[in-house]
Amino acid sequence: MKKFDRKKILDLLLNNAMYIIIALLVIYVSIKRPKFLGLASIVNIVSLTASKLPMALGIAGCIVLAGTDISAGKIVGLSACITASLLTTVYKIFPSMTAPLPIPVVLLIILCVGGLIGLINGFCVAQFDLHPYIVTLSTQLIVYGLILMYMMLGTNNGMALSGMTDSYKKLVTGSLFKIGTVSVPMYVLYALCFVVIMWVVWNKTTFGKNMFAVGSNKVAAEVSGVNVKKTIMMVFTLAGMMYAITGFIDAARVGSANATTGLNYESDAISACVIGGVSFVGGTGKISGVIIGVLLLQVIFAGLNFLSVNANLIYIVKGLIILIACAIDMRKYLTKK
Amino acid sequence: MPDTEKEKLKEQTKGEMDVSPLSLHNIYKNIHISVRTLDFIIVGLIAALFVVLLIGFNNRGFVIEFDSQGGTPIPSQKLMYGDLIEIEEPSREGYHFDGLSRHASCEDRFDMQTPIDGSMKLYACWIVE
Repeated sequence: MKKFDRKKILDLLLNNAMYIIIALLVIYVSIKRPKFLGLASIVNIVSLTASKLPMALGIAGCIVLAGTDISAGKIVGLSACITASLLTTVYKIFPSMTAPLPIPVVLLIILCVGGLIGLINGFCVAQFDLHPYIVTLSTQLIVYGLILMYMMLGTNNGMALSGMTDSYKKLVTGSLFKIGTVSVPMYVLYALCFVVIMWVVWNKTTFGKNMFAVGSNKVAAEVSGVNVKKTIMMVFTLAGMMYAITGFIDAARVGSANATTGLNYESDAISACVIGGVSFVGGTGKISGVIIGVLLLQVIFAGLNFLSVNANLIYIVKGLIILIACAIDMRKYLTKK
Repeated sequence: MPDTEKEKLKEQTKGEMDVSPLSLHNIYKNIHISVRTLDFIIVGLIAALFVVLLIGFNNRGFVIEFDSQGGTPIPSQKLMYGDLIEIEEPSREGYHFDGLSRHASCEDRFDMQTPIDGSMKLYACWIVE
């Protein structure tokens, strides 16, 4: 009985190790820097979570398919650069422009670009049965090349793009409402909308059910009449669109865009998904898990930032977090098997 | 396909943990490791994370680097989160110092009242006298 209890406690501790580490970190940071639990800090963490959520929601779909998408960060970068070049008052990429394009047109352009790259990813994965890692590694490099070429257009010469229009900045980073003196940006509302949309897509549509079916058991899904190839392509296309939206938000949030925009975003999004219980085994994951994963990851980064921990070390921390999250995920898989 | 089998498949697609080796690219399907070994690996990784965090907590501070762009050099600074940057104004013959910028092209200026929240490089901006 005692042995059974010990095993149960060990299982509980190891399966929830990530949450325990985060809780300990929060306690430590709050003791060292009490402002960490202040209103401004909490709003900052929520805002950062909101800015990363669309991307994580997109990548989560690919992980549900037992895949991944490492081209995500570069698609974010490309959309941010396109947005910053078209919604600007300084026409460096297109010197012949006399006025910025209407915001809906730019949004449509980047959704098409993101969706097309996602479709190419999905097509290669579905049609040639290649591992998504290889396919998205290729598209990541191709997209990076495209970004560098795009940034060299006109008179820009590879420089960072800034000077975005006020209407665009206001649309994304304008104040949604204020809590005391702290302003909550508009993109928190957009992130909430995407959460609702993706929840409906995942849980209430045939496409969502098919996605889980393909991720759980491809052969069984095919036998039961699911169009596996179409489902995979749709998941990657939807993900591409979500990355494009993240880029659209990011350009205004940061105030500039350059060739390094979106760098390593995919690693944050993938680790957030794994922390949130979207398993690499496939067919497992919840929207609420993705939200919790992104939020917890931002809490870690904000906490380390509050402690003025060197950014170089944060990369090591990120890598270890991914490894721990995957090891825990693997443990859950093995214990169930 | 019989209805009972369809029902079974429906159950599988509800998003709960499925351990079928037939998953599209199940990365764990060929892993042969005992749970006990994996437990040791997890504990080891957590220990490594704590060591890294400990190193981080003992070497705190953001490095602010400066590029004087032809002016007298500005020494780099190590500041903590929330600190403000204070520098001695650099000088350059024939030019007047016009603040710092995050971009070498000086298209915007860095507000010296901005609390520091990370390492960064700042460029000196100059106006011809």
